[in-house]
Amino acid sequence: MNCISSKKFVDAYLDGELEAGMMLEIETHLESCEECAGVLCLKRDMKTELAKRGNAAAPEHLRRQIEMISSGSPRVWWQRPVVAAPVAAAAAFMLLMWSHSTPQTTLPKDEVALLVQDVVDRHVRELPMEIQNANQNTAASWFQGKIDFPVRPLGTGIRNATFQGARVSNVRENQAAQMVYRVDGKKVTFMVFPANQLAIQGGDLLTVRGKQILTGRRNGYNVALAKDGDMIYAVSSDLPIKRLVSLLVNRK
Amino acid sequence: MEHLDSLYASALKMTRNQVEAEELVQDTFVRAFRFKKNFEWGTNLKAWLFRILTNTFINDYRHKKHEQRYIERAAVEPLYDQVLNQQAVKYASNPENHVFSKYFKEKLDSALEELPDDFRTVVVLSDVEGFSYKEISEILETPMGTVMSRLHRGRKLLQHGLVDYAVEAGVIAPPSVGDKSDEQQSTTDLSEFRRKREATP
Ligand SMILES: [Zn+2]
Repeated sequence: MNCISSKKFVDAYLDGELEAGMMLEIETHLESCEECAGVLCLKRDMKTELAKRGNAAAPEHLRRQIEMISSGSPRVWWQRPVVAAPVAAAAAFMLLMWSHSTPQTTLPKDEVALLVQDVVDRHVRELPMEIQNANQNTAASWFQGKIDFPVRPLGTGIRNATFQGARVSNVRENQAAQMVYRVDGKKVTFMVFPANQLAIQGGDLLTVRGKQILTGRRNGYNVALAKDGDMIYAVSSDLPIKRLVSLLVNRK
Repeated sequence: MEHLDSLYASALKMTRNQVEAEELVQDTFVRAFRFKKNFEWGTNLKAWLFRILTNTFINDYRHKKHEQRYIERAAVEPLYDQVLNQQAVKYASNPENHVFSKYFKEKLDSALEELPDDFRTVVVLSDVEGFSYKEISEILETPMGTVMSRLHRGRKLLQHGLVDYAVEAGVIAPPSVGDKSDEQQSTTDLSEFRRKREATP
């Protein structure tokens, strides 16, 4: 065996994945080649060092969350805090029921993934607002005549939220109303668009207080979508997904 | 809670971020319970959970950012190979006093973070988790040959990262022109490459 083959197979040798004949061949080369022996030594010590990284323990709160996920099976009830609002202290826990009716092997469905991607793209792009310095109801009526469906804003039931501006946009070839808020100090993009033939199923579908919410994640941003009548309401932000779900659920 | 620590440790290495690692593990368990009908008892539960973890990571968590340092190194890879082979000989003769021993503690995690997702994932599954090639091939639904070549390349790139840190710190000398008579290496050398890199904004 020469140096080129030896360097190619030294990983498999180190991992004990070579058959006996090859192992003998490579060992014969290693006895006479200082460089390949050095490469093996360095790789072996690096592997030993990397194995120590596997000892990281999961944090206790994560362990508890996972235990809750598993304890409710086969119907999984998942309890977790939504908003740490003192007013809503009594309602600080929300029951999320994970829909269990249609098991799928691949997630998310292509159409859902594209929808999520589109909403995130609109959120990330810093396009100028067409209406600013207005309240959200004025902005909602501003859309009349510009797009052919009525727009309802997030409403005033959301804590720590201020309205920033609005513009006409589109999602997956559909006209969309885009409204930007700041919630808990983070930018939140709220999109309203007609459901048309868009399939709102697959993906991570959950039912919260009777509303079906679909969640997704792209490029580090979270997305939550709700179908209400013929319309889809979507929010995107780098806020936690549970906060985005609460925005849709508490929408007036 | 079986395998939770392992899944978390790998999620941490894959996402490079504690918050995302926790979300990734949660997503993994939610899906695992939802699809538990698909799990065949008697087969490898840990590998099955890791398959869900890596699928979820690839679909929902992968950031499309460029690994700038890695791309720059890839352009002059033969030079890094040359330095790496020389240093490997020095390392083997006296590991404790070689800079890599120190870097295993201090720099290995950063070097791992700089690897592109595909290579980092395979290195994590093999070296951090100790999965066999066959298991990794099942987890990633990728042919065994691809697993082997990604692992080989991933480890090499990881070591190139260590070389880079050492050259930058002035601990390892960059190779000079004519150091070896390989004609592909005679036109550029590492210090020239560095000067160029610093000159570009
Ligand atoms: Zn050799």
